[in-house]
Amino acid sequence: MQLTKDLVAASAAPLVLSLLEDGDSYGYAIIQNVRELSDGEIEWTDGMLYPVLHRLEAQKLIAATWRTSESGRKRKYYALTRRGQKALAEQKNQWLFVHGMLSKLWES
Amino acid sequence: MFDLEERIAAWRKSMAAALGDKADAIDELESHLREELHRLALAGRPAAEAWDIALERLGPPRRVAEEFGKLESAGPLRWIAAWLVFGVYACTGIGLIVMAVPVLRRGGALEALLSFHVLTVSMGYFAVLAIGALAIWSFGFRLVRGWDEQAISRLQWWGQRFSWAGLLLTAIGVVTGAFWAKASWGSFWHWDARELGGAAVIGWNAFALWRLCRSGSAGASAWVLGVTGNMVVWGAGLGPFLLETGLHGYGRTESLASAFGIFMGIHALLLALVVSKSGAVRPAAPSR
Repeated sequence: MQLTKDLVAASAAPLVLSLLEDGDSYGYAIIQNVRELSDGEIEWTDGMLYPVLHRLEAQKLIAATWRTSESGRKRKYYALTRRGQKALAEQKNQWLFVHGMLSKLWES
Repeated sequence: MFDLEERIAAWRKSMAAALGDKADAIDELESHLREELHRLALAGRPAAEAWDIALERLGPPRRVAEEFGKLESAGPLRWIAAWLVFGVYACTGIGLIVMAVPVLRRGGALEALLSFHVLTVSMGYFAVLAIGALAIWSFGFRLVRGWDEQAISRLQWWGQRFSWAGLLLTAIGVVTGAFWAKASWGSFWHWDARELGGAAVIGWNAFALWRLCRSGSAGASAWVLGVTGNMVVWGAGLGPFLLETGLHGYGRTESLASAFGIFMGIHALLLALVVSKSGAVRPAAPSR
């Protein structure tokens, strides 16, 4: 199964916000997490994630800081802000609502 | 012989050519590239092959730059109409200050207080009119071109800033006016139509800020706020002049009454249009 481009684009922000809800993370790890979660069904072109992260940062839904990892590698870590938590709660409601509606339709 | 640092330097050059002065974004993409190369090396891929794979996954510089470009064009600062309105607003402010300077120089403390009051209240009211102008502009465009989430976000962004200006300046103006009234008329507050108008503008700004700061885009509400804001300010600014009585009843004239009626009539029609057409501009979400 391959998700459509539109669906992948629409789900990018809630996926990123949801992953950051579990703790701070950086671009590369976020992409790996999405790959694992989707069993490889969602294949983001790696470079496409970063504009999404920057957009969320500009909207103050996430905040970024450069840190040096234990291996000495510099990474830009992202963390969910309070505004991001609120936005995520709204996104959750909306996606669950659509999910519930489609489930009702397809189960009947 | 494969030289990673040389390749990365060349890659950074091509990214800089495509992305411009986004050094932070390039640093971040380089960090990503190095992570991927490290993972591929651990998986036993030769360095040159790992480089090709990592680059392909990252995407060509021009494609990545296009995605960042979309981000920029969505920015609120790219809205030319808002800058035009801001320019008119700033020029009006400068003009009022220039007019007030001679009064402030020659006048006593009371006259200076009155000038400051008129200046701040005027700029507070004009800030609300600026939101109205942007809301009407935005609604007209969306009516013709259809819904655009980013455009509505820009309206919210500018609306919030003008609302803050409107709230603070009007509040300062009302307070300084109250002190002037105490010194001139013996009391801070007289329940006069103009004072009530000022309070109404403060109330409108507070409500607009609350509404515009809520996350998620709400085009119809931003448009309705803009049109009603114009009406509130027009009522607060010109309304008291039309009254025969009151502390600010400076004499009703027919031309003033006509201007007031025409402005309110046009805005009532606009309000009806916004309310009736906003659903058509934005595809209605299913109700719960």
